[in-house]
Amino acid sequence: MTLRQPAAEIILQSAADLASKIKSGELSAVEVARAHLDRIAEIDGEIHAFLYVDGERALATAARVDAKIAAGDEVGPLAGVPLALKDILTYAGAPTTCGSKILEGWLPPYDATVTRRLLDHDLVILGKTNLDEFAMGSSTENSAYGPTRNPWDTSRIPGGSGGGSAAAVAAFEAPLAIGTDTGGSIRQPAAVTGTVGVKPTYGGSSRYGLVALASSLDQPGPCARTVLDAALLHQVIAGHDPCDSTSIDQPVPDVVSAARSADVSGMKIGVVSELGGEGYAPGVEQRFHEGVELLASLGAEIVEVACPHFVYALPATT
Amino acid sequence: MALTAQDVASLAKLARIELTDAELDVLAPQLDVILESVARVSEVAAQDIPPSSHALPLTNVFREDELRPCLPRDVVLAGAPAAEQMRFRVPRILEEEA
Repeated sequence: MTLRQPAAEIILQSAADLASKIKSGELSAVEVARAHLDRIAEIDGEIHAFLYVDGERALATAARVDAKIAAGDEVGPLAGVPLALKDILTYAGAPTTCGSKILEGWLPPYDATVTRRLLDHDLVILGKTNLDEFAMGSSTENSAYGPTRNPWDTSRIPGGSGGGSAAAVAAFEAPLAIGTDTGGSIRQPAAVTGTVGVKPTYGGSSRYGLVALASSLDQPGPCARTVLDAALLHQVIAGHDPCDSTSIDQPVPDVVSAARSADVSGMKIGVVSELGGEGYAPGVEQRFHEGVELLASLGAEIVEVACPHFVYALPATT
Repeated sequence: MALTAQDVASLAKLARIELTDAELDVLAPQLDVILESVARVSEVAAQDIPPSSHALPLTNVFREDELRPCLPRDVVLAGAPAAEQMRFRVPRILEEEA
């Protein structure tokens, strides 16, 4: 098939825009999937965000989504949008390695709850992303299959453990990805690659089918390029799961409406004093303060908060 | 309390990892740094603070005691490196010579 729009124009779009264009018929899920698969083929040799790509399966899923939309069937809010899945969550029929040779060749017999919800909501899974072995690391240099590189500067790390998911999103190989966060494995790669990543409240998203690092802290969560996209993805994957005994049995807060309104006036925002000062690369702390000033100028109330126990956080998670 | 090369040698034996003397000498001080770091938690983890397993106040999360379909046995065993009598086959570790 020929692309109705140049592939470059497709891959630069947000998940929210792609979803609405796929729903209206302006774009097909198949051409969106193909544009991203082409992008992966073009640059992933250099980035190495992916450990596994199944283009055939992705295109078949996309074709089913297009058929559902054409038939006027009900589809999810991110229907047809491609996604990269961290290779620590099971996806039946695709290998799950956790970045380790120990699990090389293992085909999980079931889907993680997060994977199941992505499929039930008509997202298109492109493949599985690289990580530090069993998520133990913060740079994605410790994968048994080789490091992932930061798309902004391939001599630098993309953060970790979910460097593959963050790099895939930053390199426009996928508009969305799933990460998992125990002590920063979604948030730190997001910061290092200039993308958006959120660790949901513990119990907010299901750990069923997630290979554990520290099960009382692990949480799957969204990786995206915009806050709205992260909120849309969170809304798809979050919520109670009877298969996870620590799952919260409460409705998922409407984070999509919050992201769409983008109104921070009257919000009270705490700035943790222990997180300032030491250890910043030049420019990073300045950017942080610019962010705080921007929030204040938009009407947020900034409060300095002391969290003296933070110095024990690293020893405690170790 | 510094970790000795001998301590690391016994840990390595328990973990079934073969280490050379040179590796033991390198690893002992490194593991010592990790232990010291973890020990810092005891500065705040006092007797009067009850231990917590995780952040949510959940207890006794049970489901209804009802039959549910489970994964087919042959599908599960298909992922095993070795299977015998419809079970996972693993290398013997008990009753072997120390």
